[in-house]
Amino acid sequence: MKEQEILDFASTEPNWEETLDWIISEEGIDPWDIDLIELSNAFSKFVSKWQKFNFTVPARIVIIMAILLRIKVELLMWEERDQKKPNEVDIQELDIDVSDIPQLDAPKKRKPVRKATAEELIEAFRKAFETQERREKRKSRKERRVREAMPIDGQTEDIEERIERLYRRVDGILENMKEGKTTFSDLLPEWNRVEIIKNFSPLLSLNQDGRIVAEQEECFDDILVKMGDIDG
Amino acid sequence: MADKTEPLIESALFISSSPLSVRRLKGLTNAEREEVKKSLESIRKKFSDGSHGIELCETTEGYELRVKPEYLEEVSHLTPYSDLSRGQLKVLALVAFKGPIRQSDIAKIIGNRAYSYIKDLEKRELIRTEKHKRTKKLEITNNFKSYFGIEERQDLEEKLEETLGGNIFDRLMEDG
Repeated sequence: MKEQEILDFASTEPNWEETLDWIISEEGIDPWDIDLIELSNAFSKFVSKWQKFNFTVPARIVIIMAILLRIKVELLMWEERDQKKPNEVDIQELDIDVSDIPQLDAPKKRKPVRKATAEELIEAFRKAFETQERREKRKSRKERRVREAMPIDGQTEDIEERIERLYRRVDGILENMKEGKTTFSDLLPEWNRVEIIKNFSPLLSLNQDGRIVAEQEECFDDILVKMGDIDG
Repeated sequence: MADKTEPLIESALFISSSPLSVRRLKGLTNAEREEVKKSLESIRKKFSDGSHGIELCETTEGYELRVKPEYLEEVSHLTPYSDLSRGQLKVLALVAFKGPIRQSDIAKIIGNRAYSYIKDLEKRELIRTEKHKRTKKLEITNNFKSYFGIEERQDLEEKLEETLGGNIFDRLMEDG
């Protein structure tokens, strides 16, 4: 189903321009032939399955659908304008028996499809490399942004050490608490992006090992943390 | 009355934008399989003559009329419709110039859509795949050579160098 393919493509490609380019030029799909109802149904299924906080993909798809809708509307308006010709003659008034008029069949023309040429193959090769270079640049830009967002103060930290530190903190807090549970936010010295990232993987690791039990009752709620069955 | 089978097959091949199988032509003409085959052979002979610019080709999907490779370059600009999509052509180009190449390397460059392009090209016998560890190795076939009207892969590389110039050619042909 091409609508599903469009959705899959739009959710992996970085921008809506590339998606539209892919729809029209690479896949040769006629933009007037895309069922927008199917596309929006597939989109709502996709969004309900996702349950992740990322507006980039839905926004991109909304733009794509809006552009496709505009293309269709323009075509319909053009057809309507064409139909409303001035001085149109009502055939009923002419008193002509239309059954006498022989039906005209326009000669069928073939859509000439040809083989690709060696020049096109060479051009495709050059473009493939351009695509690769673009992807690599995009990747390094992303990595740079991550590095900038998470300065490591010029030194690396042992993940094992970070896990043990978090475990000691959980143990220390719960020792003095009657309910025997705390929250992830209480474990952090400060609630900011760097601290969350630094402590989230150790939390998952401790949970995986059974040393703590981490639970989240609702999406985006704070994570409840209890001591696990496994000590040490 | 003259037999209509051959002209009917000829007109079907002319108007169709995709290859037609013997079974489809048989259904169209209500002729026996042998008769269809005989007509196809007669059409092939007629167009193989040097006075024609088109020829009858048998592909994995059936028969089709195509412009002969020697005239294609001069007339290809007259139609924008190629029988290979831009994505398929990119994959084919990588296999042609970098092959044997791993399927996973192509997917890294083209993205996940590469897998369906590879399947299409393999179905058309323009490339062949061979299992290689956890991925596949891709190479061009003899069918690829006849499609582009070349004898050897080297002919294509020479054309590539000629078109792009030495520096770009060297950069693109570097390993990795």
